[in-house]
Amino acid sequence: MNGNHIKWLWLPRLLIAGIFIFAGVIKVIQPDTFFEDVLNYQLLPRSAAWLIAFYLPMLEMVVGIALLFRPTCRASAWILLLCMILFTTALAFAWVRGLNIECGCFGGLIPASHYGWLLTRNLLLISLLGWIILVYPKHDT
Amino acid sequence: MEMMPENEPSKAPTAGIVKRTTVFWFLILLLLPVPFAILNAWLNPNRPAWTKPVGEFPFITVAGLDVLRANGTSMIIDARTPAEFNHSHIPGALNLYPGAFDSGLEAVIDNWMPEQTIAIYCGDAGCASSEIIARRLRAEVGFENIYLLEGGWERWLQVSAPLPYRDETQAIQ
Repeated sequence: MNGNHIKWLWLPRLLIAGIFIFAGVIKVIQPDTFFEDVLNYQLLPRSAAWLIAFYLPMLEMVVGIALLFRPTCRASAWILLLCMILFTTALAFAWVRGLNIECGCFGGLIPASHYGWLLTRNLLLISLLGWIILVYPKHDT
Repeated sequence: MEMMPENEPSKAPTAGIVKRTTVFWFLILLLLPVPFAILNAWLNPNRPAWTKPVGEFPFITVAGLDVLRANGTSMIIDARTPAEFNHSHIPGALNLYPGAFDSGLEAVIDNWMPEQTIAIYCGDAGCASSEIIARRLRAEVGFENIYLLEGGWERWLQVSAPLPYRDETQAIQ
């Protein structure tokens, strides 16, 4: 059972790595759009949003790439899991407050969708990351 | 159950090493983006301003806005969320929120008249959406004569809102 799980782990790893590398590249190119998206959440002061606008896309790219390599797979899955929990919390908070904002997930390239869909997608990614962390062999790190 | 004590000694050292290496890579991966982020912040032509550009848009006080409203020579734009706008807003204001810019723009253009002063406000003195809307209106529509309301909705509510209206709004909040 566990062996079968491990055999199929390359699939979520490739999928999640692709999503985060893509999201990171778009936001690295257009930090101004992402900066405004972060500000629109109305959770952070301008200076913190500015730092996040430059750091987070690079983190997404680096960790996305690291997910594909055996020694860094578990650590990057942990980082992505924590990021996804933060993103989902911010999104849910915006929904509760009735904010009609761009999610900022893919910069300005993919416009905002319905909150329900975004949260479902995030929960699916969280589940996949949880699966990787649970199943990926610890001795590979 | 009896197998557990036999397995434990062989697992314990490995678990210790795994924990250390995962934490090691965890920290390395968190730090690795920093130099690249600094480089991007330095070189990227699309870099946003660290501080609000001073004097990019002039401010108008609540009293100044009242004069413009009395003269009927202004267009007031509420840059807060549609939910906040629907709850309460300055009478006569149009809602144009950054997240729904394209859908709100039509009403703004329909109501716009040349020589009109445009006053934009958002929630309070620290909010950013009025500035974002002002910049987009100037860049994408070519509007000039744009002012930001000093202190935003919060200030207007304190200073200029009619008393029953102010009480009602604050009671709901």
